[in-house]
Amino acid sequence: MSEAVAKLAGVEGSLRGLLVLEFCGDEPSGTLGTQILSDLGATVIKVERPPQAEPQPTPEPEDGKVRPDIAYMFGLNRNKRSLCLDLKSERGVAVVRDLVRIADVVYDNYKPGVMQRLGLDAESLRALKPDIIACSVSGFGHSGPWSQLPAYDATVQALGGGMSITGTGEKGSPPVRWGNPIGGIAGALYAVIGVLAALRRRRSEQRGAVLDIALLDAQLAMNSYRVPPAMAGIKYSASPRRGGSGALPYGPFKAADGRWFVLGITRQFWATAAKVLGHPEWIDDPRFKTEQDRQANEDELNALVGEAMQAHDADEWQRRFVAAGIPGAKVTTIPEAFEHPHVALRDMLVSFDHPVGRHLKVAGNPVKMSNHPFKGFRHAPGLGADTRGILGELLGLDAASMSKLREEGVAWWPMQGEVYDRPSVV
Amino acid sequence: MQEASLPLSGVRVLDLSTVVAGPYGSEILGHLGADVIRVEPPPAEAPWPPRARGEAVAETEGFTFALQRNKSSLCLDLKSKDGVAAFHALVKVSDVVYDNFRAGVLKRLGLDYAALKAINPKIICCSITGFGSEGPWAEVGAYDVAVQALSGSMSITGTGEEGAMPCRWGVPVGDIAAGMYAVIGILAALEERERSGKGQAVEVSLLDGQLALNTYRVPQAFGAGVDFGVPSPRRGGAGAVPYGPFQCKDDAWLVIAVASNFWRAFTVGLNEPTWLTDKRFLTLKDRQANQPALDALIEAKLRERPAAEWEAILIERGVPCGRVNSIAEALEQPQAAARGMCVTFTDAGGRVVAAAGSPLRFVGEAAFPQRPPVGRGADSGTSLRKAGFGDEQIAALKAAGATDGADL
Repeated sequence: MSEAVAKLAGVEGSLRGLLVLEFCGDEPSGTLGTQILSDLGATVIKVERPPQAEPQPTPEPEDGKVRPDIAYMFGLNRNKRSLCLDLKSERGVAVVRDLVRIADVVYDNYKPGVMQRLGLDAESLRALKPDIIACSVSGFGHSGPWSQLPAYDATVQALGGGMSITGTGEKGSPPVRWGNPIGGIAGALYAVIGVLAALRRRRSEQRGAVLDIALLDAQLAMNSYRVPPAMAGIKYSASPRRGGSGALPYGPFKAADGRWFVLGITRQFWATAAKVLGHPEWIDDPRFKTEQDRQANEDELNALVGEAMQAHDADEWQRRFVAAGIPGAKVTTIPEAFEHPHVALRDMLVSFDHPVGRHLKVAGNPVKMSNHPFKGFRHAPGLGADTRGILGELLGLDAASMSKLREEGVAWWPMQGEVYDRPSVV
Repeated sequence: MQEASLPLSGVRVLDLSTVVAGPYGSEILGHLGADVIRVEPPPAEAPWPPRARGEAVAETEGFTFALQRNKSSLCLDLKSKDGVAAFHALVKVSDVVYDNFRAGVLKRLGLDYAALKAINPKIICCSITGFGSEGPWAEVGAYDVAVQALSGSMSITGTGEEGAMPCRWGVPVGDIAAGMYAVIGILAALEERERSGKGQAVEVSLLDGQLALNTYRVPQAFGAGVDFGVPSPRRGGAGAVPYGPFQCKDDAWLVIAVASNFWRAFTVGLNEPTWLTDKRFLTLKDRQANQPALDALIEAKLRERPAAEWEAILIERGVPCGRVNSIAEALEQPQAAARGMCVTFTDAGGRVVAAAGSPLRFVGEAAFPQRPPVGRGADSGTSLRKAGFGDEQIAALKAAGATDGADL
């Protein structure tokens, strides 16, 4: 069986043979977590709703431009397989139950209670597979007064405390959320850690686990070293001109071309930074001699650095700071970020061998494992593209039984070509 | 309730990491039950004095209690031959070596994967770097704000006003994400080793971690022609309006996110029934088209009560919203309290220090214990004995200056 499972993996990797069933909406809290598992070699089956009517196959884009919703889908679902089942039908759920019997992990990000309604709550799963690892990711978790409340990335970022320390720091300026949906992303990262830890324990104790990961909890945990002082009364606010360890000068300054360039000059880099900025005399200036001095004369220093930064364009500053080996960085756009020389060296921008996917590029896997040199990702699956393969090879159904399931609307796969229309995608 | 059985018990980690990125990850491993030994240069610290109840918690102690709990500490001078020999002996009885040195440092110390593999073929070496171990940036110091800038995420974070300064996320996500990815890599390598018997090297760079968190925006930028600016703070992912932070009577901010299915409940909560029939706001499309007018009405309305009251009123009606909590408020809110997300440590003198708990919740099992942080060198003797060192050898190491510790 594990060979048949491994054959469906998108890439060869450390988690070879691990079968993960995904019951998730489009949000990264679910799809990013299972994608990380699939990047590491697990076989991830995305269980999806069949379409309402027979959809048209998705053509290769004529102008090379893929629709944003399809691009979104590729960003969070590479290496996975798609199985279309009607979970409102008893027989659809029966197919899922058969899959659970051979699965290792069931991962959902539905509102608490939904898996129960489907008959797929942790207890039911355990009855089918005693050592199953059931991982649920939700906004507020399965316990507590807010467990039934829907969460949005913005509200989770607000409630978690992170927004109160993000912004321009100007009086009256609104709090800012991180542009990437870290609420869901952090939940996914913790969920993957929980799943892998449970897997380790299963090996030694033959015992499964039920994980209840809340996006809010993840935000709270990431406040990390600010929590003990904060709980003892120390106040934190948005301070774009101060680093965590008191580094100065710090934060975004405008370069000659109007682009922002970020500094983060800790003590050990100050002398070098003064030279790079063209002002070696600052090193012996009594106002700026020690970090304490620099903090005491922060406004003067920032004004002088602001002027000095006008001498060159951001790219030239970047060249000079890298040559000196000290932290300084241009605020790049996302496409610019991927022009970094480091990206090509480390396979961090990846395309696909696929009619739609070859027009797209996604971020690579940041976890580099020496036993598994990168050989490319498998494309994100079309809707229901793997339904027959999964029913046949993992559950042993013959062609006639599969067709019957399709006729009865229990299972679905496209009759011709690949379908990338998913009505639910953001 | 089943007795807690720690998922990583029996896994030994030699932790060479410092600052935030590395320790954030090794703390997670320690909390999950791994025997995490911080290996730090001598001399050992004097034992921490007892702190009386009510004594202040310094900002630097935040790093200690958040990032160094659930670990023990061994002093070894890795620049000395004896220190390296002792480290090698520990590698023989360990599973993971974990560091966040700059590229090249481990090799100079003779502690890179190639060297350690020869000592223990099953060893898993995990390195966190700023920009990887090769290439033009390998030697450049990484700093959270620089990594956030270089990854593109700062360009989509800010107030959205023309010409306004880009913002970094106040939480050092550049460091933290790398620490979490490192844990994922280590756990995956441990799983593989169970099957193959082989160790391997795992590497995560801060920049790669940040690039990966751009998730769906990457293919949207490369292939779908989407151009990202700072997203409007008043627009949600799916175009929800009204959305974003609004200031309340007490000057505190409330973030709302009113998708179409919550619009009615929202107007009920605000006691503004006429908005529901107002032609400008009938559908999501209408609300988007007339957003300035709607936002102005909401701004005025939310000024009538403090943020906490509005939050209670809207939550009661199931409308997603949230106060922009300070960190202390965040840990004290009822949902966080119900989930046990604030944990405490009590000093010998009775001082209580609070820290965030772990989001890794195993249902039906007791919460995994939180062990308080210890000073540098607190466990040197115990750690060396694990590697098979006898009292005489330990005394010789100490005499040579290669170790130091409170329990020698």
